[in-house]
Amino acid sequence: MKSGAVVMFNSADINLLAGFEQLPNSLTSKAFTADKIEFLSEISKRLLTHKDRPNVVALAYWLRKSNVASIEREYTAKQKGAAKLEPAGLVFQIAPGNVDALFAYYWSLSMLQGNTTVTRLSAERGEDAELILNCLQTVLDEERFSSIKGQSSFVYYDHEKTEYTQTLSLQCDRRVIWGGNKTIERIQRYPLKSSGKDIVFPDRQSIAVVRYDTTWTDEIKDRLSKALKTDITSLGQGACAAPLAIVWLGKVAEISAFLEREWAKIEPRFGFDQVNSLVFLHQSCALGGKRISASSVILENNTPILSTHTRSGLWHFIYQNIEDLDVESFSGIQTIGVFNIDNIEYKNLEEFRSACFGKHLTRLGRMLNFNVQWDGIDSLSALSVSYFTRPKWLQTAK
Amino acid sequence: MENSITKGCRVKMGDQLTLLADDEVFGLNAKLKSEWLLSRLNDLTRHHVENCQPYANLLKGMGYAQVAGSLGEVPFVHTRLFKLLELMSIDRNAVFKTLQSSGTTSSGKSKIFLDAHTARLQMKVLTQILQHFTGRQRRAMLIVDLPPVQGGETLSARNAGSNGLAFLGRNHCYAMNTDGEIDLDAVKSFFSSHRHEPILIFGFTFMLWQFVTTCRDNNLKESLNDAVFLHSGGWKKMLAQQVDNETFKMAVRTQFGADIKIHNFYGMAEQTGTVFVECEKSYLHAPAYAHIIVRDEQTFSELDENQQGLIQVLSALPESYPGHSILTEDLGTIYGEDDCLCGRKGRYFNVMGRQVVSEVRGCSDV
Repeated sequence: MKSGAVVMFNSADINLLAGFEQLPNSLTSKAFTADKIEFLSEISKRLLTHKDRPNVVALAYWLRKSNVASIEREYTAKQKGAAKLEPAGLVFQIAPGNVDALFAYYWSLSMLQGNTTVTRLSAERGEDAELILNCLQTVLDEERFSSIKGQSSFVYYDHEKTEYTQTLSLQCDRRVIWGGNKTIERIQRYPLKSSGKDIVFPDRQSIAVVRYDTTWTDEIKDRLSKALKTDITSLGQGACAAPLAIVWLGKVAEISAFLEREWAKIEPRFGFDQVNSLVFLHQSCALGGKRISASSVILENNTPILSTHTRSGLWHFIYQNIEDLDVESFSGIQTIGVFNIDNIEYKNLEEFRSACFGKHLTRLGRMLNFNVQWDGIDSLSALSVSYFTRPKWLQTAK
Repeated sequence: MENSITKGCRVKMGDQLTLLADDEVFGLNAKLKSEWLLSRLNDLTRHHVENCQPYANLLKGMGYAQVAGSLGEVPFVHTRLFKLLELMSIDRNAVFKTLQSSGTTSSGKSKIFLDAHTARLQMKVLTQILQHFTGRQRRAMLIVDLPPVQGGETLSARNAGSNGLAFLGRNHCYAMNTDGEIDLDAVKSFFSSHRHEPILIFGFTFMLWQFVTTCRDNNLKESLNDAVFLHSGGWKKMLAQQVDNETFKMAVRTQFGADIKIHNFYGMAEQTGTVFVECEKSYLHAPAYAHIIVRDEQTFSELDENQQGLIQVLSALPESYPGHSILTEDLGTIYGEDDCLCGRKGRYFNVMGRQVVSEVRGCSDV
């Protein structure tokens, strides 16, 4: 069993928001034990009562028993044959400022696998994060969950107080850095111990791909705009998985006519800020775009680099087929959310995604749904160590 | 655009900018001004369309007309665009100076590219506008800031700014020592050697306040009979200390005499040269080289007088970059045109502070 040195999480410079006040003596425990699953289920039930908070409810669904069971099945499936998984030890997670619930998803995966997890929350965290932390605190204090509490700490310290980042970086076995390029750059100045590993989530951009059809009814248009609304407004366009552009597939003339005619009616649902959108329009037009509404621009002959998008509006690209897209322009995208795409086209999209190193292909309206596989990283493998048991020579030696 | 700058225009029109006569700077009524300025601004729009591809794209993509029928129709660009793109209407080799300003709301610095011609134009017009208030004779000048760092390239923007106005005066004295403290001995000696002459005191509003309160706390009282206080910079820090413009003026007058002229001025790096100076009636005034429009924060349509909205600034000067019409992030109210009790023509207004911009929460916040 790995053990932790004494690091206290409750002093003038560091606030314990929930969980245990220091690193435990033993850093690892058995994966997917009954109390762990029961604990998450209890959290799930409590969070589900906050119906007015969609991001909290989404987390509650993720933590419910049936979903945890499917994660466990995936975990077990990885242990076929001689390959076995063991907890990595101490996981140090640096949560992002814009996605309040994200820390809890990754913490739950780390915890289920038997790791000790220290999560540093952001100063920018919002009400959702506070609500989740309060709930965690209450349930962790129950006697029956004391062993889980012993392996979980949720802390806040000013990011100027680098000594905590330094100490935890040197002690941890896995360092999980959310928060984009700048945060990664800043945190990676502090070395890990030689066996430690970083799991990083850099800045990413995401797009929607929609096959247009002139026969669309109002009901279909409504479904499209609802799905887009979910992906754009749940966490705002600042989130890496929220769509910044829509790639329309179909006849250019038909799609242009549709956008010019109807887009200005659909778009207000997405709640863009008017001033930020004006800046977005000016920049996008300067890059060669044509305004079609208060927050949208058609870019016909060029595809600006997605990383220059100011995240307050939508770029619209129109192509006949997915094969016509320039792979270079979309290189490194994260999530592709699709709408009205048939099986054959889906296969082409899968090839496109792979060619531009895209990380995730999903349905529009579900782009933000968290997954064990996130941003190209399989968190079950990343948060554990893999070893071989019963090597072949042992089986064959008689 | 032509390169020559001559002075003494009696409201002529044409491709090149002829500087206005001194009495025209605040002497053109709305009709004369809009004829002269609109023609100049339309020339500038055409010039930038021809010489700056992103600007031409912007106008086309937004559906903005190139030729405006009134000042309110001159197409504008949002000030943040200068942070996102490098906009210039000159060859990169002709860049003489790049101004950088940080602004306060969003990250990144705006970049303004000047060639020698536009820089010269800005300087001439700035001098003409400020001399309207300080007089053409150069005054002995007390600069309330640190002395410039000799040979140092790391001038802070503030330090560079206050030294940028040194040309307005002579016999310069710096009121602060290199540690940023008010140097009372230097100030006393400046006052005693220029007691009977017109003097000019310049500094950023917040520094001048520090200067005045330090003099007050040290009982340094002077009766300056012909002094002009020029100051600029935001009121944010001042209002945090519960100091508004009237309190500020009162404190200055208590310390240095009731007849002192005090002028605040408003301007931005994106339109250096055409500054808006506060008159005796406490309104900021648009000189004939510039114009001000207030727009609705949501719809961006032009608002009437006495309504608060986003300030758009128009300037006759920017030739090397497409910044002749900019929508700012400042909030203000126009109170009238040509009929200010101070007697100056042009629109008069006040600035109420900066718009609260909802930042897009990005991943990289920690």
